[in-house]
Amino acid sequence: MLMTLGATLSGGGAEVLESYLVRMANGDMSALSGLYERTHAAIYGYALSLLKNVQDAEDVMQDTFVKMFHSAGQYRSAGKPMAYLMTIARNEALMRIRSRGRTVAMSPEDWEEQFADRPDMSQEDMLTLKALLDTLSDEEREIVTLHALTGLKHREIASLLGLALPTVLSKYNRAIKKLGKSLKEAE
Amino acid sequence: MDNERLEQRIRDLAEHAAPDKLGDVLAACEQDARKGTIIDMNTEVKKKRNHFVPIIAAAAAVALICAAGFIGYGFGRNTAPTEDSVIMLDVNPSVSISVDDAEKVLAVTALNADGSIVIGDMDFTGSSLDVTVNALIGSMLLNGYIDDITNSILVTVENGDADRAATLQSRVTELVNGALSSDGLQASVISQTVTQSSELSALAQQYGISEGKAELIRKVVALDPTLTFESLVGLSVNDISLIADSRSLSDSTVTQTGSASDKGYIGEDAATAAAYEHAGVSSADVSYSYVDYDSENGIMVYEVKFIAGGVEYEYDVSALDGTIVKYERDQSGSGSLTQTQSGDYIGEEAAKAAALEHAGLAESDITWTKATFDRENGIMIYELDFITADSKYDYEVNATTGEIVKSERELRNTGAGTGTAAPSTTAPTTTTPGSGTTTTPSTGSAAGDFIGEAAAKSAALGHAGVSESDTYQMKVELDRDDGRYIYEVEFKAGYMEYEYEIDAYSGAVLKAESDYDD
Repeated sequence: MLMTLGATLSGGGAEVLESYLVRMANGDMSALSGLYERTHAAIYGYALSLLKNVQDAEDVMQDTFVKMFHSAGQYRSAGKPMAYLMTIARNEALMRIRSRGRTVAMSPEDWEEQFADRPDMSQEDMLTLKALLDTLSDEEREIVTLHALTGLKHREIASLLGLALPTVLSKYNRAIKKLGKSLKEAE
Repeated sequence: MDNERLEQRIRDLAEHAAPDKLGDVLAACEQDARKGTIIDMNTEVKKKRNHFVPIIAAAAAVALICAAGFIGYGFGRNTAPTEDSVIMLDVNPSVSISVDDAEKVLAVTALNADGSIVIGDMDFTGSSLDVTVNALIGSMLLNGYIDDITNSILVTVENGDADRAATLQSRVTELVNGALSSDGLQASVISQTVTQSSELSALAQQYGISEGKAELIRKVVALDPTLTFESLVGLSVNDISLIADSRSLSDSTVTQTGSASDKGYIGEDAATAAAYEHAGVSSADVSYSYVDYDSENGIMVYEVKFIAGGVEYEYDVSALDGTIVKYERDQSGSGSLTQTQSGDYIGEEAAKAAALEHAGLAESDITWTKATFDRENGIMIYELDFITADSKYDYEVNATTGEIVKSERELRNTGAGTGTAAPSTTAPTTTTPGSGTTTTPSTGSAAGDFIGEAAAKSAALGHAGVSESDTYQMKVELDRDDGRYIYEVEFKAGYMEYEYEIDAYSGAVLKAESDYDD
């Protein structure tokens, strides 16, 4: 069972994701369900880290899947389906940020309230969320969440974000260290 | 909390926070596509936690392993089993498998962070070697460590008995190839045997790599005097293999099936074109050119050398994106390029010996801190730095002649301990006599309350947010600036160059500069 979460979130098995995309291009709704189950947490988490707003992140996640369903035919097999999905999610999120002018950041009380209906959210999760939001810059948060959630390699993240690999590496190292320190202090 | 644990927390958070919007998504898409709505059985089974989907055959082996481990161990063994062989697998994740004489697994150990991701919470104790290798390779595939970009895996067998080691070597190679080919991957398996030696394990420990990888690097470096251990140590097995292939280095004790993938890189033609463009020459002007792989500070580069219009050029072009990492232009027309492809250089070992002889020291007295091969003012040199208990030495040795081009010795601040207090108000006018050969003022008299080089270094690293393992060309020097003792800390990480001034008493960061390292 240890592979379960890894496979879901890290996108382990690019072949599987790729086969979903191929089937989606032919209008296969079951493939869309499959893709959703495997990637929605990663896409939601990434969107949340960019938007810092629960409702916006939900909308972006939903829009991303609809967009993927329609544009799956454009996916050219390059063995990198996860990078493709994240590119779409990122574009959707950036579009939303532009359309609303700026990020409407939420306060800690809001977070508690917003996640009240998520029975799985633990106190530990709230602390992780708070540390991510309070300690890291937007760019650092983006790099760390991408790495944690998608299983993309640093060099793939660099190319997704249009940054140099060393920049991504050093920002990642710095960010993960800050995060660890902050969580250690909080607990 | 280590990085993997932190990332796991982020994954947990995302899993727990993500809303269930599948219904909405399907409804939105359905409006446009009315092609039928068969829900995948795997995903219909309600919610979270257990969407276990067997991805490839190897994944099934991963799932089986716990059961196998349970049954296999503990039967009829009253005495502790003894280790017979150790098998190391290196991709970038490095793991070592220790087996007894019946090839039952005693333990599987992660040798780096990626290795522990690969092992996860699988328990292999008592399993057969076949099942274990299959599961580990399966997990490397699942976790994306082996793919068509990084397809090389190093198998190293350690056993005192050469015949037994050779048998195991070919068997494990077969196992690995089998596990990989079922996935349709064109993999490359490099294999070798080693015998346990304290020298090898010290080397492995110093660089945090497996003994297998250390041995492979040692062999590659021995074959090409322009390579140094340090320049290869941070690379993946795939990259090391690319470098060795591009220079036609082969060692009879290393066996390779398949070839390393270069799909992640731009290719020799693109690299050559980038270099020509930067130099402003067209291929018609070029009278001689040569390309191979190299590593420049842990980055894979194409080394492009060519002569155009009587001028020699040497370029390092990033293999990832074609940026020019480094270039040199030499008008002297010494013709060194054309004659230096082969064994004209004395090699790292000989250069080290020359430096030590000059310093009047033995290898056992010192610790090497740097050994790189570089071109300086048109000549090829080995830059060798080492430290002793009280001094730091910088040497440059001519790579062709072995002549000492530069030698420097500095006294090191050996840290707190000596009771001599040095009030921070000490005027800078007190001249330190120095001790002859040193090039910086003796620090002995005032070293009492200094925080020490190590602390200064970590203050700078902490400020930069860089871990020491990611840095290179680290330089720490005690200095006096406006009557105040400071540590000057300089290092490079990635493409960046950092300069720090750290208060020698308080450890405070007085000055911090970072810049792109051209």
